[in-house]
Amino acid sequence: MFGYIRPYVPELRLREYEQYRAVYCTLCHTLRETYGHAARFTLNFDFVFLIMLYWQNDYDFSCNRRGCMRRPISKCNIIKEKPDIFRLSGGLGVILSYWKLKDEIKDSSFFKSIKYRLSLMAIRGGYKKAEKMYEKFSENVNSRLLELEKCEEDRMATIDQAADKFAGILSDISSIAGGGNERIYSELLYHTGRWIYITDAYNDIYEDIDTGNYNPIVEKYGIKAKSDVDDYIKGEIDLTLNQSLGRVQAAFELLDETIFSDIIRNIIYIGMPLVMKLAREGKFNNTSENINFLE
Amino acid sequence: MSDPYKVLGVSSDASDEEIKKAYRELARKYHPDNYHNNPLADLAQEKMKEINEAYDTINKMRSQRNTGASQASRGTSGAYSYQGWSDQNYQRKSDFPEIRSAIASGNFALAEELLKAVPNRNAEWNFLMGHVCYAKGWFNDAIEYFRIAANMDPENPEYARTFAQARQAGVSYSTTGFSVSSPEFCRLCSTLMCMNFFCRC
Repeated sequence: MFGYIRPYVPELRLREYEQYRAVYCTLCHTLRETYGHAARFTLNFDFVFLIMLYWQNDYDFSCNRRGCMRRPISKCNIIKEKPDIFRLSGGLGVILSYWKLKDEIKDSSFFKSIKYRLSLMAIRGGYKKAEKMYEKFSENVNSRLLELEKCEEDRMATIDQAADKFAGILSDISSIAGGGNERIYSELLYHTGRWIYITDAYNDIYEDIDTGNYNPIVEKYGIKAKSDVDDYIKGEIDLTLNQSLGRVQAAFELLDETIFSDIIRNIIYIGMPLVMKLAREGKFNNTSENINFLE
Repeated sequence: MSDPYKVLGVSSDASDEEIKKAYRELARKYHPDNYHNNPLADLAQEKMKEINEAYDTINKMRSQRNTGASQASRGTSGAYSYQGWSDQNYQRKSDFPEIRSAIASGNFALAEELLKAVPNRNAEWNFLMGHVCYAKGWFNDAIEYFRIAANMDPENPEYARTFAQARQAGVSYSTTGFSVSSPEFCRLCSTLMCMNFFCRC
């Protein structure tokens, strides 16, 4: 359920595009340095967003040019002095991916689960490290996901209760990241999490009708067949997603301006509404070519 | 006090017109309407105060510098006041006065606890539960409760109005154009607005 929080590239300035990439590449480097090679595969746009949100004006953005495995010829910009938020974001990403993989293994058949099992083994080392560094957070993730699992088992017919568990994981970040403004961050991250969870369910409606997997929207509106998904239901989901997005925007505007403010505005005012539009048709996926996102 | 020009995000040699524009932009951004029923409303109010003060200070400094020159009038001074949950509607006769006062004072956890203990779940119960959910950010449940309240007691204008308002309260400023359900012309219009916003042209 990751990768929904991304900028709409055609509306980015060239400088902003380069800055965004630099954060992305630096996060990738941090993952390798701190959590091992395999941890790089947990890299995604959502955590770039988190880093930009927590960027402070006194951080130094000067970069070194370094090559990497993916792009050995054209080098990438790596921030020289990485603020702590990089390690934190990376660690959170590893912890969340680990739990997500465990969940996938449980949900799929033995043969299908092999690839997940292998990935799990690969990031286990990184996970152990992250778990040690962010013990409290990892515990919270564990207990919240258990609650979420309970919602799934009970086929809970409420969207908000299920979304609350996932949103809570994100808003927990505000208490470990520090740096003041905790109330704003907590609200911002809670509604980002709520938005991600519901968008994910929105995008998966058609798939989940086929497979019979738990989907809070399907349960809530008693959807039996694909033809049941009408404009009324979509309107309700759009409304609730827009309300969370509104809270994200309102909270964000209360933070101080930084070099990333306009990139974040691109994400929350253009990128996220576009992702929503794709999810509405169940068309969003990480390799979407129908949108002018990244690469 | 911090530099008033910095608060408005303009340089100290900006023209009166530019300052007015920056002020208006910020005042629109932090307008209480954008933070209505939002748990961060107090922070927005603080920002608003800061901006108003900065604008006043600059105007005062400038009018002292060129006395007799025309003064930029703000026009909006003091017009913004935040109206939270303490609606006049709460003065009506209620089955749950303590719960209403808990909501009015922003103690939603207490209100929720009290509500859960109530066995008689009438229209007002649903209405109040809707408020609690809305405050928590559980918008989908909140609307459901408001709907039930309005259906159970269709005569009550407060329930019908809140239900309608909760459904309208979508995204705050400048994004409505991107919401999928808005009409085409509306989208065009606000896309242009947003383009203007991002291009700074």
